[in-house]
Amino acid sequence: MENNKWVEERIAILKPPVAWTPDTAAALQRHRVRRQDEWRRGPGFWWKFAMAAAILLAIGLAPPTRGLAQRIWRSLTVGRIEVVRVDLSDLPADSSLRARMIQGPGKMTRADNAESARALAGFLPRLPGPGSLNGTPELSVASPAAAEIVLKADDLRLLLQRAGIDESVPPEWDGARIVVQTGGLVMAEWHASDTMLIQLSPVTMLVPDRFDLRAFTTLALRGLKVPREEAERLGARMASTPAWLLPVRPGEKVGIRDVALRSGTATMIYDLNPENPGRIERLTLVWSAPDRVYILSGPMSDSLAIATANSIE
Amino acid sequence: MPRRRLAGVELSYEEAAMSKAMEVQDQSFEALFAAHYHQLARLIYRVVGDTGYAEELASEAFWKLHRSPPAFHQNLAGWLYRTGLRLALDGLKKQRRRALYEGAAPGTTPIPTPEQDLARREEQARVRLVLSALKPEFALLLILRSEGLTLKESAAALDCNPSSVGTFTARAETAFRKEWERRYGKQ
Repeated sequence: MENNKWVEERIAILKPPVAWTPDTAAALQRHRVRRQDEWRRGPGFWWKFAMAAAILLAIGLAPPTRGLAQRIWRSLTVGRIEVVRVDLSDLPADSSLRARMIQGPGKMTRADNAESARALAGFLPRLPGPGSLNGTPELSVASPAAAEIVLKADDLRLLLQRAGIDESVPPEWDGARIVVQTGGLVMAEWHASDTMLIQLSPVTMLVPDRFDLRAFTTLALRGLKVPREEAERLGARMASTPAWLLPVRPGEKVGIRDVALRSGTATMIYDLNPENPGRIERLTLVWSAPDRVYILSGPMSDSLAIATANSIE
Repeated sequence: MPRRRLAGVELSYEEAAMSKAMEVQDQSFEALFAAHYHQLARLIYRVVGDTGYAEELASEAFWKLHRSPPAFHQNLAGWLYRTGLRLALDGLKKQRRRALYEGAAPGTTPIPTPEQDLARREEQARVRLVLSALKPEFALLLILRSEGLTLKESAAALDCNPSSVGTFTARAETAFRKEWERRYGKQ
């Protein structure tokens, strides 16, 4: 028998069963779920971590307690976002520099439409214009949250000591309370494209009057091993225009660049595949408007993210 | 690699690599899935002989494409077929090892079957064993041809020139027969 005929007959015996049809739709759905699970579990979800852990200069302005009510407070609006490479694992679990939630955001509440979201969040969410993202998003709302730091000067001293930094911590910082509060948060999710848009009203920060926010920020960041020059720069900026610091671990596979939107400059953060840094897993665009902070995240191109952001304002 | 600093954050990313990755994203991944999953699962079945496992491995090939797309991806379908087949061949080896540990003959089922069916299964196991011993490109080509793909389609899957597929097929067939005869004697 000819070689080719003989081989063909051998291989033909492997033919799949006639009754079997691979289920493409089910497989695709499993793929989507896997992507979503991976994203939620993996380092790509760093911003969620950032929101929860924005620690330091973190978040929140709680109503002052009675004991503090008589003190003079300085209220700062945090309308700017800054990314900082910092490893928060250097901060001991019981450190007073870790923010303590004093008012949790609770579970996300589903909103049927934008008006419902407004009723829950206190502001009307703005959504991308037609032609940017396909489909109708699912809306959910988180209520305001607040966190505080009641500083123990010794904790900061210890942090600096561990980082090998010989700087003194003013004794009057002991007991200083920094409170940060977020307003409502609205999340719009386009499940089919694994994309979400978060918007929240600007974060407010209360610090004791005369508290040297610049020096505190600088020292705390240096204690977390942020290079001195960078820590000082961030400290200076924090004092002039308070920023919401998004911590990104030094080893995190992300690329960051600034991009121009119609409303100003935004920060584009690329989550890179740990095994293949040339591969972008998804990107996150963070920007602020006078009355709102936006975070857009999804596996999309730069151009789509920018067009989507521009269509919102 | 261009490096930038923004807000004091050391940036290190390769813009060219990013562009490539974005191109992959720009292509409709789901369209690719819809176009090739069915056939890929069927091809993989020919190697592993189990429908559920074949679907699992086909999904895994798409997952690999999603996680680590090829640097040059003009022919993603070909990349998928090659990746899927390698997964299948690896899966086949695992199946064989498992069967060995369990004391079972390769490819047989513990459930008693009619003699004819058993003989067929044993023949399938032999063919798979021979395929797994070939160069992956040879095994892929033989399976693609058996699945009914044309020379042009097979060339695309193998990422080679269509004019050389004929010669390549003849070499694959010769290799298959040699390996068969080495294992089971001349027929």
